[in-house]
Amino acid sequence: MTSTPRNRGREQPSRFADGAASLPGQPVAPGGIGDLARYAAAFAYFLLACPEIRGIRSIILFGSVAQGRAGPSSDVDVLIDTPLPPSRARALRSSLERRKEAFLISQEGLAYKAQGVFNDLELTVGNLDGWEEMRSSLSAGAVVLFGPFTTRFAPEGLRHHLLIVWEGKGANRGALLNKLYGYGIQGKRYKGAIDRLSGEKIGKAAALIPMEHARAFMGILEHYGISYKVIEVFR
Amino acid sequence: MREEKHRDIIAEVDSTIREALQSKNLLAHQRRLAAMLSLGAQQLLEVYLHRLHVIKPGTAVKHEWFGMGVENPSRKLAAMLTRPPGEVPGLAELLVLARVVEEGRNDLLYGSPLSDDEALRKKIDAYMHMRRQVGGP
Repeated sequence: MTSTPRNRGREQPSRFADGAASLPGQPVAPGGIGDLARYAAAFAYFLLACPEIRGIRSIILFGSVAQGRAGPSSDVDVLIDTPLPPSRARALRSSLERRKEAFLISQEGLAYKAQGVFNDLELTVGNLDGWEEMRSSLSAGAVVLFGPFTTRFAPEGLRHHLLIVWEGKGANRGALLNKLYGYGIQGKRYKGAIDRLSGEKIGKAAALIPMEHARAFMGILEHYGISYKVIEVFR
Repeated sequence: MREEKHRDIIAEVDSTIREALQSKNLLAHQRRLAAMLSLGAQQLLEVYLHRLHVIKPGTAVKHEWFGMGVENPSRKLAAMLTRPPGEVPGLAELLVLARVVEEGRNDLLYGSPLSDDEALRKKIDAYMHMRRQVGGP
């Protein structure tokens, strides 16, 4: 069981008289972790804008920046997930490295340098399918910059769930309970959301819901004005 | 020149670069960038040498030296330094970057408008790396 990462950088830039951020002597992201994440996102967008680069399935920020514990000179770790076979993946990697060099002197890259972001972009290229070690690493904290939201990033054999714990009775407690747990009328049983969404009742006001159905379940609670908390679970 | 004056000039150069990058049209700032980057590189080098206390008082670095090939800038600087250029840490790297900034400066300033901003971006990148190496104000 893991909790959702919430750490954020706390560094503050020094300022010139005109209010703009100064250029420090070391690679510091003036806004902290947020700037490095945006830097990674800008780089991802730059990659995707190149029509010659094909075979990217997902782009994922991982490592210390994604986990909220990056330091001033931390590398920005970016995983390029590709279904290409190894020989073509190597060619893709070469293209990506060239594109990275172009990004560093692009207007976007220079704008980040003007804010003091000189952190190295470390590219990792491979196929997440069957890459157990990387999937375990991603489960410690990762940000999908491009690609479908999917439970593929969970460690092999584990499914991504949300443990949803709610409290309060809301406006219409009876209707809510029926909605969540189901009800019977004239001998006929109607399934509740927990069953329909392949979830599992964990406690009095808690359920374990597969990630792909979690939004639908949370929508029900929100509709009835119920507050809730979520914890990510892999099992 | 006192360090505060260097800081003010460098701040103005930095502001010009930011403005040009934010405009997303570097070509519209061609001449201004060429002039300011050259000025900025010269100022950064002077600040760097002053901080290391290796430059003789009353001497000034000339931006034209940066465009004089690889060896000549060191020879020009040797006359104003208190130790051989080869013994000044980081100076060689700064001169390489300064050369990128200075190369083609006059063409950019007085010549035809560029059709592609790659040269400007490379100069900005070189200046940023100089800026990073020299450090904050």
